[in-house]
Amino acid sequence: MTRRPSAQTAAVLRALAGDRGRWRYGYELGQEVDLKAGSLYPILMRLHARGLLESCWEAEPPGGRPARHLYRLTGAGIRAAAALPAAEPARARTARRPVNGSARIASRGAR
Amino acid sequence: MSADLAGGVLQLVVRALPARQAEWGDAMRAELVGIAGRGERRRFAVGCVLALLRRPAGALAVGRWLVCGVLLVAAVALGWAIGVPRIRAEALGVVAGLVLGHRLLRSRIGFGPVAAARGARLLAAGGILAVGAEAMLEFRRLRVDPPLTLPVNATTGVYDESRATWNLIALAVVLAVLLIALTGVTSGRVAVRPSTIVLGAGTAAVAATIWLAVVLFHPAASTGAGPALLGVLAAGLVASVWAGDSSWAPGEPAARADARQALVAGLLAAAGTTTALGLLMDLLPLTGHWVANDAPPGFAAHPPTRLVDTVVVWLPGLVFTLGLILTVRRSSQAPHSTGSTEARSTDDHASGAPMTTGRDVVVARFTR
Repeated sequence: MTRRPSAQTAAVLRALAGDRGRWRYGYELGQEVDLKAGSLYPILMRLHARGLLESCWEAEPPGGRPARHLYRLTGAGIRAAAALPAAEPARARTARRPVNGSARIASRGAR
Repeated sequence: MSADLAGGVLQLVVRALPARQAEWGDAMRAELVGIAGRGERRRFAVGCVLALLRRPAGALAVGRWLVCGVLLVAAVALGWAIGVPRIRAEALGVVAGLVLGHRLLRSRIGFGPVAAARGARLLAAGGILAVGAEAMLEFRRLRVDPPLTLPVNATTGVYDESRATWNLIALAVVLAVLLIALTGVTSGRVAVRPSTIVLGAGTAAVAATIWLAVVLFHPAASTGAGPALLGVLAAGLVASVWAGDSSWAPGEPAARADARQALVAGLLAAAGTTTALGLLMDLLPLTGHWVANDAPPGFAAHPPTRLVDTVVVWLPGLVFTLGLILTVRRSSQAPHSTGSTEARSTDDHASGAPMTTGRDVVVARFTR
């Protein structure tokens, strides 16, 4: 990342870097970093376009619910998150629900 | 706005998006299903719609659908206003035929969806606007209510239904040819480079603007077909030469592809200029100071000061447009064309999200 990320982008990067291996979904992430969908998704789209985020579709959604789109940081994303200045105190909230770990990994963003 | 209405709007916006962008929309729709509480669902859906519309591709796609919707309503309203039942039915039939034909052309069996490149999407929207505007102008001329216009028999002074029918047939042919060329050139499956589209359409816009400025600000300038057609030819030549590669060498595949792009740019510029000039020449008589050369005697409410050759401009435009269709069709069949590869890679770059297969997965889940 060449420019310094905005505070919101930095919050999303930190949230994703907090549990690197886990796939996260948008609504959960928005709840954690206290961002509305109108702010969160443009950030996710930008991070994905820059190769900092990889995505896949949930493989086995429970109970007829449509598959969720899941996100996690790529290697470049992890490095970008590590390069961020120290986090501001406790804006983040605890994630409400974990994501099913059996997600099928398509990991296109990292390519 | 209720939660379900917001979800419906989100679904409509997602359907309007190009395939690669729509994957993000599908992701939002999938999230929406799992959110509990009407208020929360509504806020989430509204946020998602705003996020999609803030993207240039999203705004363009939705804008194109809005333009199409407004044009369709206006064309049907003007067609409905034609006082003669048979002509009214024929006019509405032309609208229905064009809409159906356009949907077919954009389907898998036709040229397919618009390319993701911004130039292609702008041209697609502008072309639809031009086709709709021309249909509306013609419908306006076919009304029975004052001012009586084109279909009036000059000797009897009554509405000439047979002439009105022929006008509608000519209109349907011209607009159908325009739509075929438009969907072909702007299709993501056709090997027309985004830069070729920008050059061809941009040259046409500049040429038409120059013509309009000259005839508006220099009353002595001729508004006949001769100078207009010279301008059309000049636009075609300029675009073609500009697009041509200086290293052109006959027989080499890459050079042949470049030559084809130059041909497409030239034909697009010529066809675009004739379409724009034809539209302007149909619009100018609305001011009362201009009159079309095919109008019956005594048509103008006020004494006209200028004459425009609408028919003489539309006819060569038809030839250029047919040439464009043939060239584009051959481009889409060329298996080793370099343009195809470049167009696809540019589309991927423009979309900013090189995801393709996932959408098929989630669409299948939604449609089950």
